[in-house]
Amino acid sequence: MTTVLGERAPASPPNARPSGPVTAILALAKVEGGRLLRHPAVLVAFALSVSWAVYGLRGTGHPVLQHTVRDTQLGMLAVAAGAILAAHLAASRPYRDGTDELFDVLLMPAWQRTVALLAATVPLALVSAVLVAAHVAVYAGRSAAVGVIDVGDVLTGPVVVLFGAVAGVLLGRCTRAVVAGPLLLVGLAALTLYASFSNSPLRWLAPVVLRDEQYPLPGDLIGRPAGWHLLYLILLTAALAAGALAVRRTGRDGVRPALVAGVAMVGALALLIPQAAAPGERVEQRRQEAMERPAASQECRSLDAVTYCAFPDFTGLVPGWAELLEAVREPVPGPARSQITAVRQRVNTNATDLGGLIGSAGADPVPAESWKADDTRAGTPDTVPVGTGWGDGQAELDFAAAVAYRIVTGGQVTAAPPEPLCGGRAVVILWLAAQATAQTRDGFDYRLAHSTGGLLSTPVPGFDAQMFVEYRETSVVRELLAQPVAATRQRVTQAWTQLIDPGTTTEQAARTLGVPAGRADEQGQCR
Amino acid sequence: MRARIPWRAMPGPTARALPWGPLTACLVAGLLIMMVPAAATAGLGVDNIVNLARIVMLAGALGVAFLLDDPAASTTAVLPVPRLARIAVRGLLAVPVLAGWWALTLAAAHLAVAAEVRPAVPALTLTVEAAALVCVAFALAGIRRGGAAGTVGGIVAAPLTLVLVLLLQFLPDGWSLFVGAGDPRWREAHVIWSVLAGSALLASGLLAHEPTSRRATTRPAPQPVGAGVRR
Repeated sequence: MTTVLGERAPASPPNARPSGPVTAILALAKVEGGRLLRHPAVLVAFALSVSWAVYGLRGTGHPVLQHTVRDTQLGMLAVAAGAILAAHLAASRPYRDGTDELFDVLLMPAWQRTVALLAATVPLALVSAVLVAAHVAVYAGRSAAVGVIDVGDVLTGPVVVLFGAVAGVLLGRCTRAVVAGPLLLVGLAALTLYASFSNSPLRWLAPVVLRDEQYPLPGDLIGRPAGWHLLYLILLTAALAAGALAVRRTGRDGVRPALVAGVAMVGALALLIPQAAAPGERVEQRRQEAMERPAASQECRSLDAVTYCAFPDFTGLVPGWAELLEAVREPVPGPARSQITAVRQRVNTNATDLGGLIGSAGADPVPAESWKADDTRAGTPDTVPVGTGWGDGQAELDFAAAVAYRIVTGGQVTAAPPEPLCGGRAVVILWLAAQATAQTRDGFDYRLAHSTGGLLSTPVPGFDAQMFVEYRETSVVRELLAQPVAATRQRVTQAWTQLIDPGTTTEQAARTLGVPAGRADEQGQCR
Repeated sequence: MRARIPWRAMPGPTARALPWGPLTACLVAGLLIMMVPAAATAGLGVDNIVNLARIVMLAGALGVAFLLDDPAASTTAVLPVPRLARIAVRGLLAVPVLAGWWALTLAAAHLAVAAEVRPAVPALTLTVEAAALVCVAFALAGIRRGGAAGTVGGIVAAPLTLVLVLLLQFLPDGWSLFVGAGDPRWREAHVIWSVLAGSALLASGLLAHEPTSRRATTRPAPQPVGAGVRR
């Protein structure tokens, strides 16, 4: 900053025409832009968001692109936070250094200084954009990626950073209190948190509205007003920028910045209407259709005599399903294997992620009748359900449990029964599911740690269909999982008919398989 | 010889000199954040209220980060009262205010959650978290700068507190300290929180230690006037 002033002062003698405000603004913007990028808060925020993104790369075998893209916004929120602090400190620096009065004697008026501060936020936003683009490109480049990319959602991240920096500048022009920057940050964090657990249309006022639907939706069912929200954010940022020019203005040349700020603000607020109207009636209709009669909009593929039907955006998951299905039924003897002829993807399009727990109340009942009719019409009766999520271990466990349940009982979980699954059947179903792959094993461990009194699986993700296995049966399964795999598989194959008999108790099953049964659970319903 | 510390004479003038502005602003903002869903009778779940309470306690901690801001630091440095005592009095004066504020916050949180989950709100453990954050902010505010007298003050401590919280927020699942209410690591995380609170207090005690011996016979190096104030 001082460099610029030092250069300018001798270059413009009193009567000479100044070399133009643009040059001065650009020079100051360059210095301030560099300082903003090098500010410790911004650097730490960048480091955090990059390391978080890199950490997220491991383990996600099947990224759902629309969720990945929205996740980049979370990383950018951290950068925006750093930007608010840094920009606020930069804009209020003259007050703290006592150079405000000094500036009054310089040729560069205060508004040009503000313009330079605002322009200095652009490089920060550009760097953020590059990071977001790289993040999305890495995920989209994976062959296993499913889902769709909404450009509106991609651009929201960098624009949020711009918004944060501009808000910081405005704040710095309004108040000299150092506490204002951190407080603004906390306020925006609270707003974002409200938006994350509210269903009100006002949630779109928050800079970033994170994940909306609990289960990944096919692209044409998302109906997220990402483009409108991006426009809202841009107008809001413009309003704040104009506002920064309007405050502490000496008022010689009209009130244009205030007017611009007002118009942009009104425009931004008006955009709340299309945002609140989303997803719209047509999308709602399609969602209902996809939930109750998905067959018409799905693509089917046959692998090893099993038909797999998926929504067009999710056909990339089919090989994974087929692999898991084979792993689940590997220990199953001949005739029981061919129980499974078709797998169909199911999605609850009504479920919103409001921070609920697994299988929490409020899940919709399974539309069993319309599914049955739909399956019959499509020529794939008795389908096994599979959700739209994949790659987190839990989705794998749920699908594996649905497959095992069909193999053992010949039926399908369609409700949340009041009583748990008991006896040898429970052990076999859960063991088949958990032993299949490393992911299902992870899902098993996770669910066991996160349920009380046993293990809860939701074989039809998003619907009120649950399979509960009590603690005693799960401990037999744990014992089985600790045994050598090949030997256990052989024992299960040999004793198959006895194990899946509804009359077989947990003790009998455990004895047959050569593991301790543990004591009967006193609070349990299984006897 | 060591001077006796005038414990009785200190609170009044210190209270008058405390930077109440930033503290009040932060506490009011925090309370408002909690009162919005309470007023809207939002009927929130436990997880939501826990997250909201974390934002509120962060607001409080930010206020505390400004507690040691003292434009007169370079003049009080020459007083016979040890630095530790001066800092301790500042901190202790804020304790009742913070306690009252936190009680109000918890009351608002009580109103914001759905009636059936009220008993499940982990008020006590959240208080541990809040205390830890406040202690950390206080310790950060005590980081020394500018010779014998000055501390970095809120301008450094508040962003540092925020960055620290951001860091904790982005920790991977198995390490997270901001755990959900039903998380199996809840207990473990809160043991860490209490350890964090204790170590932060200890750290602020150590930081408050006089940089030059009070019994030194030689004069400390002269400093330019206002060296501790300029940022």
